[in-house]
Amino acid sequence: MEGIIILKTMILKGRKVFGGVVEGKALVVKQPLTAFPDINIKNGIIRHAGESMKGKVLVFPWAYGASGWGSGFYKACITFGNAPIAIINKKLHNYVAVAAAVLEIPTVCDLDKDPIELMETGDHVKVDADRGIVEVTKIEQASEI
Amino acid sequence: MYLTIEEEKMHDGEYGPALEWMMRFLSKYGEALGAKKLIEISSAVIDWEPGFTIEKLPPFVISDLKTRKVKVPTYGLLSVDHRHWKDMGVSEELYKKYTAEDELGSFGLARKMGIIPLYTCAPYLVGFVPIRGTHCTAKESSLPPYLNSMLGVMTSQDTFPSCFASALVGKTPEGGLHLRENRYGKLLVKVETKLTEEIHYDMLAISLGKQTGATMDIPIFSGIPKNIRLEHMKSLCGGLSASTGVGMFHIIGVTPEARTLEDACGGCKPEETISVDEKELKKAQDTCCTRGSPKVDLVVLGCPHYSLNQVERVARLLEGKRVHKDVKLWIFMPYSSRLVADSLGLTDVISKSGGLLLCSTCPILMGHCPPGTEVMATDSAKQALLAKELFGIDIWFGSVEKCIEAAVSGEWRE
Repeated sequence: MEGIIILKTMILKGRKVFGGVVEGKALVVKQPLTAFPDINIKNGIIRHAGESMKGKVLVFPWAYGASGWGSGFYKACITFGNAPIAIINKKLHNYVAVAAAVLEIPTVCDLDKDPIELMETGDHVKVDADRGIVEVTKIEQASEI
Repeated sequence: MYLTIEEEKMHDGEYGPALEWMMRFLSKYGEALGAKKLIEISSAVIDWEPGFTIEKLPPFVISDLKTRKVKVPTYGLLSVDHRHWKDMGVSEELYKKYTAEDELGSFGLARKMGIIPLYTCAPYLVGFVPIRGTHCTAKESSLPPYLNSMLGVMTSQDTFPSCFASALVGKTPEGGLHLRENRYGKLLVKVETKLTEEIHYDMLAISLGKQTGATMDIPIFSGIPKNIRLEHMKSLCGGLSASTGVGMFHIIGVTPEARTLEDACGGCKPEETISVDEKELKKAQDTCCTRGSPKVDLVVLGCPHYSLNQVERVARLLEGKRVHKDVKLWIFMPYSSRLVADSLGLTDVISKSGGLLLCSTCPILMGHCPPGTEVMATDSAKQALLAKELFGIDIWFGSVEKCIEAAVSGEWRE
């Protein structure tokens, strides 16, 4: 028998980096990201997470590493079509600021609560980047009442 | 973000589609950074990136671009080695892409726009030294930290679109490291061991990245010797760019914005302190080595590009010796420095011993090393870490002396 689904919602408030309102599943990466070698450019798979960022709300602490970051990320998104639908960063690195502006990806940073600690891969997320609001819905299954 | 009347006109297309696109991008980028306005830059550095080339711009922007000149002195960084591209295994197609005079995304368009190619990742070695306190845009790993920290120039860690737009408009958003309040140090790094060789600075940077989980907080180093040279700082900047998210650092009593610890922190105290001792340095060195077969196929020196002083040292180490028949020795430096190396006879010494003095690029930038390479030795932590992943090969990381010894004997000896 299917378990009972429990929904828990929480709101995180931050700063708009690039506007837009989207909804989707979160892919949470616990450690800062380089574009290479952390992101597989051809299929978008993030190696620490084992899942593709394509079509997801990509959550990670911040970008770091060599300046090929932009080039690698644009290639993954533009050439191979693996763009995430939104980005949530704890701290904003310049690489992501440029990428969000070029690729027009709704992006939020500087949240009042730690998204890396509170969010998990698979959470349902509504990102209202215009207002800097991230609404996270956790879906938990309980086997018994 | 506030735009002046002139900027508004540009934004609305009064100065043509190219400047309209650039100004619209700069306002989006400025908003992203939370900047209040655009500021004038003294110069710009750009680098063609395979991921976002000119061809990605709308066609009406591209045709307008062909008649545009950059607004401020602008320098191009990397390309292919014009002398040895075949020796390096560069395809004819790629060589043409970089050098053709009438193609987009190449030397041709850059020159039409007034961009001066410097053919190096470390242009501060060949005269790109903007004035302290002025703003510029910069990319390439070691460059922003070198400009911000050592020269007191204010720059962000840009990528191609932002550098290109800023070069055409002559402005950049006043955000990030362009603002004084974002340049203060937060993390005190106590160096508790004697740093003597360049690779110690690579190791220091890697240790900082490992200990802090690729921090974005600006580090303040204490305990660094007073007699440091440009080459030491080049290694530190290259290493930091590979292992952290910082575009700047301070060294108390050395760098221009850190006369004292208080000065470096903007009157506050560091929020966190870590220390790096000999053990930590060794750990950092170990993360750069895979410890596979000792039989070396390729030795790479000059990441970031070597200075003339470093090439002179290599020539002295190589004099009268012969590079092992199964090993390729590749040494990278800026294009114009190689012309000086030619006239000093250094290029000759290196080529007679079987090495190649190269410029304008490096293996991780080109994305390939000689076919059949299984083991690389290098004195650069950045090259080591990226080459390991990019080529899936074994790596030895150590001093230039050890690297040359391996090139001659064909084996890495610890």
